[in-house]
Amino acid sequence: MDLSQVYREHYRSLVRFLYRRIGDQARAEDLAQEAFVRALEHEPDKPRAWLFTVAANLARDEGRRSSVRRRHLTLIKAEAEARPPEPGPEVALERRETIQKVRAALDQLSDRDREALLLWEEGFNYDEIANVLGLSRGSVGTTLARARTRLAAAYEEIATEGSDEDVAY
Amino acid sequence: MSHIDDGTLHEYLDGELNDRRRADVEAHIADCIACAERLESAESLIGRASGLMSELEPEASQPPPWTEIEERAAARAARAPRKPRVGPWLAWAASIVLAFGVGWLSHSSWPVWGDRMQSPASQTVQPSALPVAVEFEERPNVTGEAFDDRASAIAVEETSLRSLADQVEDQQPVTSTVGAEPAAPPSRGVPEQIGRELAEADRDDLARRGGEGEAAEAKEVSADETPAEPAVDHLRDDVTRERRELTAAKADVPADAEFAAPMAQVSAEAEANEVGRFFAVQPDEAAEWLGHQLRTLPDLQLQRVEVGPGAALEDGVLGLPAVRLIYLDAANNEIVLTMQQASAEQAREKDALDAVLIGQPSGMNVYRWYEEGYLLTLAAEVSGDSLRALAERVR
Repeated sequence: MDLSQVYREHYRSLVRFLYRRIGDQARAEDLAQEAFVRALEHEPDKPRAWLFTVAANLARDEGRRSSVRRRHLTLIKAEAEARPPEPGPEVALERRETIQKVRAALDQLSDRDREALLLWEEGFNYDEIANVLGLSRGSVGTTLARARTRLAAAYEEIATEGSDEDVAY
Repeated sequence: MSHIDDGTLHEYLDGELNDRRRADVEAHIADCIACAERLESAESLIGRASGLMSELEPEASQPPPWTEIEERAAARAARAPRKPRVGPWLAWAASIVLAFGVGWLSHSSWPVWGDRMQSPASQTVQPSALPVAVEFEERPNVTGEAFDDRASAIAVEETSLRSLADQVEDQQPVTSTVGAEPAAPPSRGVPEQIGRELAEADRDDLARRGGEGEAAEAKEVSADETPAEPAVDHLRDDVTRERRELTAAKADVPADAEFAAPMAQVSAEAEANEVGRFFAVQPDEAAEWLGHQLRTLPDLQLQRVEVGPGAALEDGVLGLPAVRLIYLDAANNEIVLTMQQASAEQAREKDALDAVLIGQPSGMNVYRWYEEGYLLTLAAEVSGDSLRALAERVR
């Protein structure tokens, strides 16, 4: 398969996957480009699955660094502040808070659950998810069910804590 | 049929079950109210999770052209040609041989690169300011060409003498050197660390030869108290004298182009072995090495300034020193600003070198640009945009 075509079709999806994974858009773009540079070197048979596997590994390496973790917290704040104001200040504020809560909830998932969910959201089927994550095909449904349940529960918990703090103040 | 597990329910809703299993699930749900309710909850949960994920949408941005990705891959391939794959056992063997080899050779490697490195400022700097300026006695000035001839002759002589000395030593009883600490050669205009390293390298070299250096001061004690043969002493004296002459000749040669040319002919492999040999200096010393005022990053805490061989840098120029300034930002990230004079070829192709962001798998980003005949790089574990913004603050 022509890699330039893969680039046109899947670059944005790869950036989104990485952005959701690490929370830094500029870094997500850097890593996505790095994955394509490596793909040119390795010429994989299944480039899409290969690219997301490499991207997941790069994101995992990124996540292991404590400095990145520190920066990540700063970025969540900066990201929220940097987003252009939308129709009204209240709507914009609500959206910023939602983004922060979703990201915090996603951070509570294990790497495997999070990546399975992110890959599903990028249009991967169960076979492809199993291939990228090294899972058996039969365990993908269970992994996704757990990931969705934990994400929703974590979000509700964070949202509830936030509203309790609002009441307290 | 027992109740349907959550994984299968999600698999069903995701459309990932084959026809037979799908039919089984549908048949069960038709008869099981509990599973039908769970299916409804699972459907709601899937929608909820997707909805939450859709909140995390990156800003729209224009991807770089595909040709840029190809260029980066080509540049990387050119820098690091793919090595033939070797088996793990061969890699282990090579590592062991390399470790022994480096250990054996490192006795006198420092500061080899310093010997051959030429600061661009050396055209105007007195020889006494060169870090290799070690003087033992007054020597007549010689030109670079004469120095070359002289150095070659000495090298041949030294090889012969060493070979002969080794042969003689093979016939000697085992000896050990006690108190054979040669006096450190006086350094002139040399940073203290370099002088110390020089002395250590010299001492190690002498020890390897069986303690022949500074023979008059060394106390030789053989295992059976047999004194060394006079012939061996004579050979050692010859070797020592020739080495002194070579060192003194180096110190007296003017730092002009004639001298720089042969120094630049050192092999890339030799300098590549020295890539880790950066050492801390004062900023004004670093500027002297570089031949240019140092560029700095304002508002960041400067930790140290180091000088090292150009081969340590990507696209670094062999034979020219590189200067790096190590900063810490507020988040304790190390930010390294590196400067090196560009070669004539790099100056011609400066457009290809300018403003390039190189992402490393390790998470380290490197931003490189060309400025007034110098290559500058910024390296840090921060995003590409942050690095670009930092580069704009360099002054």
